[in-house]
Amino acid sequence: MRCEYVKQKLDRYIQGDLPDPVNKKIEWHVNNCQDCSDALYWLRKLEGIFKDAPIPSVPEGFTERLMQHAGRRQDSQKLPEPTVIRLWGWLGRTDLKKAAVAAAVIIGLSLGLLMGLQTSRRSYKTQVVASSALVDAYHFDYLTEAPENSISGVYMRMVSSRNNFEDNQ
Amino acid sequence: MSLTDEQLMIAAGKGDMAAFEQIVIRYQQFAWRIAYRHTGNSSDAEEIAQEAFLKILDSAGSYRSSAKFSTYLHKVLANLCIDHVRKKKPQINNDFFGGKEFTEMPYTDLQIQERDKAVKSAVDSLPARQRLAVILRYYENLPYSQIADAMNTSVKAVERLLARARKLLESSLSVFFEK
Repeated sequence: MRCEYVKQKLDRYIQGDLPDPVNKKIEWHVNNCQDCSDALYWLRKLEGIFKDAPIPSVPEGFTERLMQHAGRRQDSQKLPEPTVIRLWGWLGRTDLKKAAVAAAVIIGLSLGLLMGLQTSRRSYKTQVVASSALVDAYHFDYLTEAPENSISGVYMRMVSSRNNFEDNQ
Repeated sequence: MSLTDEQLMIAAGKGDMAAFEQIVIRYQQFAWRIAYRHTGNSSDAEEIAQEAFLKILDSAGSYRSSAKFSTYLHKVLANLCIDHVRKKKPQINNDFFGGKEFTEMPYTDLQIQERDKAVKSAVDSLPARQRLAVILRYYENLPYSQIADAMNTSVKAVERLLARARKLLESSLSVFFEK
């Protein structure tokens, strides 16, 4: 066993923190190496100094101050529950939760169906934008005189035509 | 039959403040010692020790009993001590025998007084991580594996930290080690 390795492990050897086989090898080495024996002596002395050190005591009232602080922190973290959550809790206590869930699902589905119907009806109506209305609104007078295959002419046909949906019907 | 630390933590996680107080009573001395020895003054030590317990309370709801509580406390304290040093320079407490801070009466043996003063001064002047490793090893006698857990590092790294710390301590304290 090399001195460098032994010196590295000496502190743990003093603590009894090494496996037995390693302990025994270190013990044999230290008994046969003056340098490592000196190092062990120094480490034991150092440990002894710290063991004798005075112990700082907890200041008076530490626990009381801490518990007050903890209580204030707990209180500041408690926020009033939103109404929905309080209502949900009440429903749970009165066994109406299942009925409330079922009612919510039925209402939601019904609303969804109604809205879907309205949307599909509206999509069948065409919105024809009178070219004259556009022209008047945006002062596009000059566009009415544009040649048919010009960009202006194409643009006028686009804004004046019906929805593509209806065109595809 | 008294509850284990882990049982008290679970109760504290459910809002039982009496359980939390039990935890504080059990570990306040330990937390205070570590914090005081690391910072060197009472007000910083109280701030760190209190903050450690408050952090533990904040996370009590997610505490798992498979984790040993003392290991968890070591980690929280170690992080707070290191962070404290990063935020401000440690003040070396020259009032070594500030009466109320120690359980023992001032020594009558002047040589021992001088030695302990020198040791404290030497430890206070170590870099933060070395100082913490020395406190956990030599004042608290924690095994290397627990020190490694607390400092979120490996046993080998702790060996290196302590070896460097001891070199610095040797140069400051050599006069006390003459055969």
